[in-house]
Parts: sequence; structure tokens; C-alpha cells
Amino acid sequence: MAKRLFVQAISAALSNGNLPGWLTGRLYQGSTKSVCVPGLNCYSCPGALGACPVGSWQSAMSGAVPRFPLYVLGLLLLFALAFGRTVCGWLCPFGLVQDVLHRVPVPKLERKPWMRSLARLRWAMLALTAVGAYLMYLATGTGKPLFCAWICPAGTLEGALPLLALRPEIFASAGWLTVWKGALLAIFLLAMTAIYRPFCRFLCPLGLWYGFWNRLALFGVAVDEAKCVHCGRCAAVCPMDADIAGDAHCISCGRCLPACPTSAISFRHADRKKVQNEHGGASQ
Amino acid sequence: MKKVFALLFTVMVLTVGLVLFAKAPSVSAKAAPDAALVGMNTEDATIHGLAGEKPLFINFWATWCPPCVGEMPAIEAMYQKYGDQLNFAAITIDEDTAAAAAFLESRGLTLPVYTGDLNKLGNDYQLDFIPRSVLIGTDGSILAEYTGGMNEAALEAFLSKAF
Repeated sequence: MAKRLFVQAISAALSNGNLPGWLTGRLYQGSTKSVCVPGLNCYSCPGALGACPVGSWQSAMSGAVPRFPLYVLGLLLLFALAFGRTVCGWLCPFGLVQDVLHRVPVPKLERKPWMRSLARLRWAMLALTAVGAYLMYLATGTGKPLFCAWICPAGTLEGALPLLALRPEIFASAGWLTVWKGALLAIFLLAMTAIYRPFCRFLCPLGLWYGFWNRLALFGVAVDEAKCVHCGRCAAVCPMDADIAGDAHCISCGRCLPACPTSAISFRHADRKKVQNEHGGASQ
Repeated sequence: MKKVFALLFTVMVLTVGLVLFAKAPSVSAKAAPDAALVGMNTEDATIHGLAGEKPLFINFWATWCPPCVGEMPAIEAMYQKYGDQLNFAAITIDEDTAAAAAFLESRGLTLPVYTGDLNKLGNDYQLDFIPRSVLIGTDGSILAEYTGGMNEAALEAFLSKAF
């Protein structure tokens, strides 16, 4: 766990290392800003040195002249094939925020049936992200990044709040949308203390995307089919509600490794194609 | 646990409070940086040159920016109304100027649209966020600045600071 926390902290620092921005509220606009980072990290964060892939995707299709973001799609495929949801567990700065807040000593909510139901919201968020801006363009002539504008609490935490604090002139353009997003962020911050990674599990379109590729990814937690006895111990200790280590919900946190009675789970890439989910397959 | 909830509730209240009690942007007394402007549907100019003739309204915008595109009809309406009293310069920060040109044509915009050295403009006018509107007096001082989209009523109030 300490190793993962260390990597998460390094990743967060690299993603948001524009120190002058944290003092002045000025956004970094150098060449690295045109490159997407693998995790969810708001472009408008004063510390951001890179772009958010979710924001970049939507931004390309926003405005009066939408463009298909082939470059973003390519990067998303590259990250997905290399890491899958290991990005969520090890690299995403907003994942780190959630991990830290979950350490707050309050009663925890785990493995409730409604959590799986709420996880379906991610499909709606993925649709909103993938085609929302373009549908807005078709409907109104102006594409809008709906997920960033209306939903993303990472953007509120990393972008809006620091900028409102550091750039008072921005107050004037804040309105009810900012109030809505502030309230949504507060709800999620509260939820993060009791529920492990509620944003990742219930809303994040990027995590859903990476989950599609988990079994193909080069790095990540894998199960050795020859050793697995399908006892379900990994699922029982999984904070992400995965059915089996390495499935689409798995963020490769590694918590299941010591729980496995046959040491079938490892961080090495294994032949995961033969792994069968005793609960009926890895679901989204 | 109560302390944690109290802390998080405070964050929420502060966020809401910051917005509800937001004050109007303060008027800056600083001098407007000069820059060469390349006309897309008008002649080339400079910011100081335009401001020297009449108070100058600048709007920084881009085709990929929804609020910018959204407020453009209101700016066009203001141009039709106050074009004889103020100079207007809608400066696009699109790197793809062809996209901006296509947008102008498709929307039938007549207000003067410019492009220029985007790095210099971005640094000089702190273009971290767009749309950004700047009103410059004939003495070259910045009379008012605003970041965000405006409707016609808000634009009218903004422009009135030049009179």
C-alpha cells in the first residue's frame, strides 16, 4: 500500500507540478499542456502540466467547429493497452484524493447491492462524454463539454476552487452552475469518507473505458488460471467490488494478493483469457 | 466523525457563499499592452492604433469555446448599435484560422475579427480563460475587464464604462 501511495503521490505531483500556478492562479500553457495525462486531471487546475483526456475529448468536439479527436483516442488506447485500470489505482490524482479521504475514520459502507446499480451510471457518463458535445453541436450549433461543465467533481476541486481563491476576477462569471458543481463536489467528498472511491465506481467514464481493456493490458493484477480455485477470497476483500482479481472493476491496488490462498494473483501479466468468473463473467 | 462532516459542510457552504456573494470585477487602471492585429475580415491594425481613434472593445474568443460562440451574436448586436462610437476587435485565438473564418462566414458576422501573435496576446492579456473582454480608453488605459460570456444587457453595461 505504501508503495502504491508513493507512486500515486509522484504521479499527482508530476501532473500538477506547475508551482507558480498554485501561487498566482495562472494556468501553465507550455508544450506539455497539449499532451494528455493518463488519469483524470483537470486542464484548468493551476498546477496542471498536462491535459485531461476526458476534457480533451470533449473539447475537440465543442464549439462551432467540432473535430474528431483522433489524437486523444490514440492516447486513450495506448494508456488502456499498457495499463488498463492500473491507471486508476496507481496514477490518477483524483484516485489519490479518494484513497486519502477514505482513511478518515468514519463508518464504512461496503458491498451494498445498490452500489452495483449505481455503477451503471458510468455508462451514461461515458455516453455523455463520448457524444454529448457533438449532439449538442447538432442540436444547437455549439458543442459543449457536458461532463466537464455539469458533472466532473475533479474539475471543481482541482480547477474551480483554486481559481476562485486565486483569481477573484473570476467570481463575476461564476453562477448557479458553479453552485451546483460545488454542491456535487461536497456530496462526493462526504461520500469518499464512507465509500471507497465513489466517483471511480459510480461516475467516472475514464475508469469504465480503461476497465474494458483490463484483461488485455500489459501491466496489472492477473490471476494464474492454473492455480486459481475460484474461492472468491479476492472478491471478498476487493474495495472496488470486483468479482475476481483483474476484472473490469479491478484497479490493481493489490489488496487481494495476500488474501489469495493459492498465490494465484500477481502483478505479472499472465494468461488471463482462461480465467472464468464464477459469478457469471466480469461485468461492468 | 462530526468534525469531518462539519469540515466538509463548511467547504460546501464556502463554495456556495463565494459564488453568491461574488463582487463585480475590479476596474484595472493599468495600461493596455499593444499588439499587432491581423485582420480576417478587415484591415490589419494595432491595439493602440484602434484605441487611439475611439474607445476599443476587445473580445478574445475561439471557435472551440462554447461560451465564446454563444455570446458572439450579442457582440455583433452591440457592434451594430455602438460601432460608430467604439472600435470593436474580436480577436480569435484559434490556431486554425480557417476554422474561425468558416465560423464568421457561416454566422454572417460583420464585426471586425482579428488574429495575431497568440503567445504574446496570451501572455499580455492573461488569456487563461476565454471569452475575455477588455475595454480600452482612448488614453490606452484598461477601463474594464471581464472573463466569461455576456448577454446583450451585460455587454451594454460593460460598454457603458467607455462613455
